Amino acid sequence: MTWNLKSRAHQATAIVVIATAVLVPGRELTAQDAARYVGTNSCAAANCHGGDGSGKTWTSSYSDWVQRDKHARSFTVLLGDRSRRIAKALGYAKPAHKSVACLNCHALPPTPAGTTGHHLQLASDGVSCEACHGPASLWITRHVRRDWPAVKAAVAISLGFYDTDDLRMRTRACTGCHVGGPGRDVNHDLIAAGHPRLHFEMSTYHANLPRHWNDAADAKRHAGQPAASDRSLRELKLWAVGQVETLRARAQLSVWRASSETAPWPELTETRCFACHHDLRDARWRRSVVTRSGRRPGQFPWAGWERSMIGAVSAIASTRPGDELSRALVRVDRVTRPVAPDRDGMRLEATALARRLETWSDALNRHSFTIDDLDAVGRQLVSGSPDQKGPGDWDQAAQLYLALSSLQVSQKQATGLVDERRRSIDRALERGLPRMRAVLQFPDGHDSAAQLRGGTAESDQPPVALQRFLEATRLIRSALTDNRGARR
Amino acid sequence: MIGNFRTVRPRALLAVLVLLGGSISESIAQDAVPSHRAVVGFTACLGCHGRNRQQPSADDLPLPSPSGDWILDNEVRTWAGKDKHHQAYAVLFSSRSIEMGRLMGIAAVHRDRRCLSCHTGYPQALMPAVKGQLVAESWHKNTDVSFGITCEGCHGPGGDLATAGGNRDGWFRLHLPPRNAKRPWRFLDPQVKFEQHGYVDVRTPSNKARLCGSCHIGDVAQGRLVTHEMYAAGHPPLPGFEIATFAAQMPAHWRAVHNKTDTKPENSRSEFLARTGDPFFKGDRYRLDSLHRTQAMLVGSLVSLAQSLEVTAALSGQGAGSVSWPELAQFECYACHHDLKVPAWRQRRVNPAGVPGRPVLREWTTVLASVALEQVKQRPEFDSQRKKMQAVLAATPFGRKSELSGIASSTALWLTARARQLESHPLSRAEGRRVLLAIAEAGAGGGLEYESSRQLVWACEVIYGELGRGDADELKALREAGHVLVFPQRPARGVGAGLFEPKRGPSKIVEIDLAKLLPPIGDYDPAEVTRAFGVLKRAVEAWPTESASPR
Repeated sequence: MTWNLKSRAHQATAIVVIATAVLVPGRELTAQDAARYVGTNSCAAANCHGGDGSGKTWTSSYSDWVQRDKHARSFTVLLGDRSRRIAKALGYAKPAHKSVACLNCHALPPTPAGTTGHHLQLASDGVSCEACHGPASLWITRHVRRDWPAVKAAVAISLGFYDTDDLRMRTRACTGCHVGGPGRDVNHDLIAAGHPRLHFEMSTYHANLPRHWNDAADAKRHAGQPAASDRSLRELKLWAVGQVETLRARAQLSVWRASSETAPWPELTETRCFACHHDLRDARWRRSVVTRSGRRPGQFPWAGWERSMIGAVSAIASTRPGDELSRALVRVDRVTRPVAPDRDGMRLEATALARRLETWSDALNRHSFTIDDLDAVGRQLVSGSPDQKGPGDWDQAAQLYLALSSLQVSQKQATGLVDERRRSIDRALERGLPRMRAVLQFPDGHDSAAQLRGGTAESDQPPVALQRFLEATRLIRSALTDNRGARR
Repeated sequence: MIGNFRTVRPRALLAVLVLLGGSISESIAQDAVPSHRAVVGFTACLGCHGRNRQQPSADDLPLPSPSGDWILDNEVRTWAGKDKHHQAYAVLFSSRSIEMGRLMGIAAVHRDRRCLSCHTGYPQALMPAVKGQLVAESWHKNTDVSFGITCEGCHGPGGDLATAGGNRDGWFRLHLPPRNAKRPWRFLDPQVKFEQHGYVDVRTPSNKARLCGSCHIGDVAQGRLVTHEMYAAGHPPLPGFEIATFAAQMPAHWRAVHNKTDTKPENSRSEFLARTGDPFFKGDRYRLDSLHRTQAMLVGSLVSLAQSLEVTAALSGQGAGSVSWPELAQFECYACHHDLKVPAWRQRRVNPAGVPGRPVLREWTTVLASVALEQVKQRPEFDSQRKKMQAVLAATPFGRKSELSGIASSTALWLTARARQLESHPLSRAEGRRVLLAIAEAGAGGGLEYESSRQLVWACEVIYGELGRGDADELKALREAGHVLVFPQRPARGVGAGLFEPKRGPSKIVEIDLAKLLPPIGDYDPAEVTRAFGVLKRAVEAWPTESASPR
């Protein structure tokens, strides 16, 4: 109907409408209002987030994302050959791009309230805005108001908004898919069918994500207590919070798998890939790695990738969790001793562990990071075990490499490398890291750590590749523990 | 154990032991040792079985022996000089065994029943534990323990406490020549020999395969199980078992039946075969040119599969609180233990588990069994049984425990019956050719992993050898293509200096060189062997069908 303000009837209606809008207070949102996905069409408007890059960063967030971010292509990948083969191998009724098991990560994820985004119109955008920022139906009109940056942290939960300014929330937006959760499970069936394995590390993945936000402002917000006011310890915080949140998500995934009617149990990805996937050689070093960990030979250790760096994160003394955390981990290890762990026991212990980790990540999130924290973590990373045998498997070695890479960036951003000690540490990392990376590379045609073959029945010396890795860490250690030339 | 043995009938005792053992096969009767049996000691065997100092020559012609061409009279010497079974106990003192003990928390590996159950022939029922799983240290001094798997370890304890006259009135006394004239031992039925006197039947193919398989595959009732924990601690992997190949490798310390004499009345082979109810003799069907080794191989493959399934059934059938299942050693080693390659031959073949990446039971066990079942025209039944098993295994990783035990043991029972059926049917040369074609077809189909490929190559060696075509070109080509399937061997390293080494010259005992065996397995690709089987199939198809004998 078109307004004709010359007509009395229309005038009256207009007065009533305006009066209602002004005088009647806005309807209160209740818990029953589940947030729904609305899609990117609105976000992508040219005068909202779909700008041409000439204004502030947020005005072209969508444009930046759609052009440069791999998440924009995550749906299209489901149309490819590999996805087709995976769906066929697993006997899916529908093709990959229509299968819920794929769409839950490759498009909009299901929310705890039960919202899904499987409809093609929503899904074809891939892992789009709402996947990380939350289903928008309840906050889309609210967030355009000027006071939004000030109130969003407070109203986030009630509106279904994921406040990704908060580093813990940011990490959870990632781990939901990159580690997994209910309905989002890259399990052994999927990997054997051809899906790449998941190995998430927050600071690395974050560094690789094209920025669709003002990164300098973000770094300043999470600066902690760096060497100078224009420096930031955000990278270290991302790493630390990321490690703990990743393990927490891992524990939650175990809880879900143990409770689910549909998830296979025992689930082979509950343990480490290369615990099984190595050639059989008469290698004593592999057997000795087992005893170092206190396990019985042939036992499946729980998780691996996600728990490698927990010791290093504990070096951040002021937030270090008490004995309860290590006891919770021991209990999870005990319940996972049999190949087919008791499901109820698993659910219990993994839930308890997840709770402890939640407390820890909260403490880390609130913590104001200092240079001392940086140094403590660095020393812990390269301290190695008493017998100097180094990381026991590829996962541990890879996490160590990523942690040291992150440390290099952290140090640069926190100190600006103004003193000689910092520069010598940076030089050592510059020399050592490529060597470590070279060791970690899978040989051509392989999808597993075949470079770790070797070793004999007589000696428990690790294979040559790991020895080279160890040498590189020693190089870095001597720089990190050398205190000459230190100046704050 | 069970009160007054003298009044307990052996059969009933056996039945009780079977029930206690939990094993459900009719052939299990061969293995359980009643506690009234006693070990006589292999030194007593030396008198006759060690008096011939001559060893068979390379061309394996039977030598005349002092006792009249029935036995070889040098069995103990062959065993002591060349047989690895003699070293079985000694290896428990090697650095590998000691390290295994350290990793598994075993105080003394040479005293642990879990090791001794296979590594010595002394009956476990007669060697009780004194602390946990450990037997008394003093057992080490008993030469029937420390000399590995001695005569009575396979042939059964020769003494019997339950008979009047004390320790030696079991089969040992009965089989000695002075007794023979009154009660001819040789002509007794093998079942009677076992049930009444404890003498294990090592001649009937199914019983022989089961005896060897009880260690080489496993037997839960007798405590004979190599677990995954042991493998992870350093135990050499148990290779796929094949009775004809393994028995020849020992080396064989017996005269084959067709080489036993038929001239002297007391050694009459014909009467022996008739009186002992030999299946090959029934209805006068015994033929010297039947393919006995091939038959033994096929029967053995059925028994091996049955035994493997029995272990699975026993372990998965244990109560809810038990953590014995899944026992990873029952599953295909290399299905998990391989470095992931892209592209991969495993991803090209139809997944044997039905679901990508799910564990499968040991694959080699079914390869020859499928061929054997074609001979008794039971292949379709087997395939449908296999589908059922596969469904149970595919339902959840490692199989649905509640159903697995039932279906595994019923399949094992069925297979054992088929084995008996097959061994009463002598294999003619023409049938041998058909078996060979079936084997070649299985091989040419491709997608067979390492152990399975080896089973088929061994099978070809057995059949070609028995048909007199051991130097055929296509066989040589197969050997060439499958050269990594051969056990790389080296002389056994001495463990206890002086104790186990012969006084004259270096030991002729060989052992597998694990440093050479294991690496190629990871890189194994069946493509070349598959091609060679294709060539072999075409060659066999070209043979004249009537006789299959060489021109």
